[in-house]
Amino acid sequence: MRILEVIELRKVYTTRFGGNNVTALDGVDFAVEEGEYVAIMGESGSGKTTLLNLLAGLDKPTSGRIFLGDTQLSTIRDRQLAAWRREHLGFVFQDFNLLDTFDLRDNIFLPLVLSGKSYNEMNARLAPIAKQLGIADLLDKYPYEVSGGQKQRAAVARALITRPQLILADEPTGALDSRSSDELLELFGQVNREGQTILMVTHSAKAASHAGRVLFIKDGRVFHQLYRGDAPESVFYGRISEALTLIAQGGMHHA
Amino acid sequence: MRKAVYARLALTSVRKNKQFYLPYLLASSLCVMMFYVVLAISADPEFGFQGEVTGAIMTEAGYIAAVFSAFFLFYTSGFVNRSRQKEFGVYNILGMERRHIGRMLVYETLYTSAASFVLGIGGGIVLGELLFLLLLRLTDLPVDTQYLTPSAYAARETVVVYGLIFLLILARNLWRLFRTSGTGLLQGGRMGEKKPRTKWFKLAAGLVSLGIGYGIALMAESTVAIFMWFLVAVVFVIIGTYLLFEAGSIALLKALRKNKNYYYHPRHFTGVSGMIWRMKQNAAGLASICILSTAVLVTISTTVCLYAGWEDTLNGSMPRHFAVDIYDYDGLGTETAQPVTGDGGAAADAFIARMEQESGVAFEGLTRTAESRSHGRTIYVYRFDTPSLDNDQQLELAGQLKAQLDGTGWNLRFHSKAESRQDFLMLYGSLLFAGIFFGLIFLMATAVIIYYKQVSEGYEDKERFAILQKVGMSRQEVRRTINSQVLTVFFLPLVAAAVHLFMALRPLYIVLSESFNIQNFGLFALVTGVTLLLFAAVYVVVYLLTAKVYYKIVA
Repeated sequence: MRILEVIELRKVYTTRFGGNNVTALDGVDFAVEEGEYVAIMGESGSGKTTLLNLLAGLDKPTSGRIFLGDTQLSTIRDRQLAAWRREHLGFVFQDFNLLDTFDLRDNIFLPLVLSGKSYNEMNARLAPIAKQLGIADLLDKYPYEVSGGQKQRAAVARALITRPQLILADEPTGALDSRSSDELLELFGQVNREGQTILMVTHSAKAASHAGRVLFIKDGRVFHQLYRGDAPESVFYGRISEALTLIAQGGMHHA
Repeated sequence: MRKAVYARLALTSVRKNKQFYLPYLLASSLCVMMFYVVLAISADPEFGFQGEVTGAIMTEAGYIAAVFSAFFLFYTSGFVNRSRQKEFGVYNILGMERRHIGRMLVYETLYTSAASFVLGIGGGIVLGELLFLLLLRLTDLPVDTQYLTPSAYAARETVVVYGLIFLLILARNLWRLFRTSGTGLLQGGRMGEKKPRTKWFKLAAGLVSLGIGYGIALMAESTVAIFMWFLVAVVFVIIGTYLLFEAGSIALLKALRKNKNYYYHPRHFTGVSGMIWRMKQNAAGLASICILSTAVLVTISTTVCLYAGWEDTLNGSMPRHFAVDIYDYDGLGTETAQPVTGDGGAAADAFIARMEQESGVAFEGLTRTAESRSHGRTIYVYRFDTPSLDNDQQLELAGQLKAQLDGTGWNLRFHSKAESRQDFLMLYGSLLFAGIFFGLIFLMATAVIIYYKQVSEGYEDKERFAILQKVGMSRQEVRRTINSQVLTVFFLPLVAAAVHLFMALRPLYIVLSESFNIQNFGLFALVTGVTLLLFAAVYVVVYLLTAKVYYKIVA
């Protein structure tokens, strides 16, 4: 089943006085199947962030369509958008976005509380997730009392607890040291193997090598894509690096 | 670097940070204005307060208000400063030493203080005058002056007192600058916030203190006792208020957090947790607002009541149209008159009879009471009415009788109700006018300070709400959360002030009834209730404005 389908997505930013138009996305097409783990790679300015914002419904495309499941994003009314996002998408950010005024437990509960779930249900959902992510002992701590890796795991728990159709991760290892990064990527792989669909934006080849498929974006278009198949991470990592080099040299054409 | 560089840098930085500095300037100018106007009125030679107890009380009230507003300014300017730590951090990295940044801060303080003084005192002279005239016209109160005289004394005093306050704020900012490390500056002072804990000792002390204060207020039986204990009770209540706002609010919020069904509710969740943190720094400010509001409410309702009941007060102290006290201290009469010996009462009677004859008006219902003093001394008090004369004629008669009595050289005192009426009307009119005027100015200052507090906190909360929206909070939910949060912060002090006011009703009424002969408790309660309602109405308007601005900042 298709979880996400993006058709001919374009986004043009117009400066206020109509001077220069900046084309951030120039006709992006791709689809994500249920249970897939997709990484989107591209350099700064390639349109990754714009794409993510459009997928999250934080911004509106100039043209083109986005389907999540059977729902076309543009048909959701503004009033419902926040609730819809909360219930269908899970977000993991580079800078964690945990609230200092909540302990980790309450940070994780946040989307469920906003959806009006009961305390018992929230607790029942949290227990297995906290165990899986290894933060069961840290739930009473505040974000500033734990390490970056622990913070990011709490953020992943917050994304998972709503049982979203799709997890959108924006450079999730960007602020982590290499050991925490490895742990987090390992975790993503594990969560994915249990059936969770993940779409991750990154410019780290290492992070991307954990995914099942990598899309390369350049100048606002999907430029190339690689399937991992049965290859081990290290081999896939090599292929990603090669592709990146080729793209950087401008020697590769559409996949 | 040359000095001019810092001066210029400071100017740019004030201009660049106008989002923080404009509200700050507004708040500080208003505080300055408030102080200036209070001093100017109490020192106004035309207003009839100078040298009187009322004038002294007002000057004192002005200083107390200055102390409270200093609290606010100190607290709120902390926000401006904290939000700028990052900027200082960048300067620091770019190679500016701390003492250079400090010098820049000194210049900034210089500019903002100067602006506050110009705006505040200028505003006090112009706006104060306008407000004064407007109120005079609106109320048509019998005040014995037509305008407010600009006062050099008040201006000088204002500059000295607020100069000191601004200096203190600068010292705090400098201390913070030199204490924080380079990276700490870059992180914008977000570090080192400790988890708020319930302070049980403070909570208990606050409860006890408030209990003592209320107890005194409820147990006082006579005016004398109230005058003796009033200040003590006020001090206890103020201490109790501060302690309870600090420890009580955190204890309450934590109890709410423990109640899972309440806490894990979309509308309470973010508000409760956010306020637990905010209260730690917020309590003093809120308690100050509460005390100030109580003062405004008590002042206005008492002065209104005094004015409304002045006729009762007059009747209490002057039950008849005229009164003459003749002192028989070792014989009647004085140096010019021949001392009268023998039966003083008979001689005094004769004296009054002669006076009646000379005046040509019948003294009706003439009574004589004799008050005995020690050493066989006596005071004969004669009271009589002249119902055939109207008020103006009584005034005329009073003048005539006084002239007559002056010539006799007798040791006596003459009172006329008509003259007292004039004096009472003027005194209570002026009191009411001053009460309302100060009430308005204090209210305005309080409103602006709350407004500024919310705005500056809005900038702090911005990040928090950005995260909430990313995690899936809709705009309506953000708005709702903000409303309930701002609502609590706003109305907690008002509710507490109302409770204080309620507790003060009884002792205030005892004083009003015993010393001012105002026996109408219904009137007093009504006046107090209406004052409270009006005050709350103004509060609501400020609240609506504030919530709107706050929402604009964070969303």
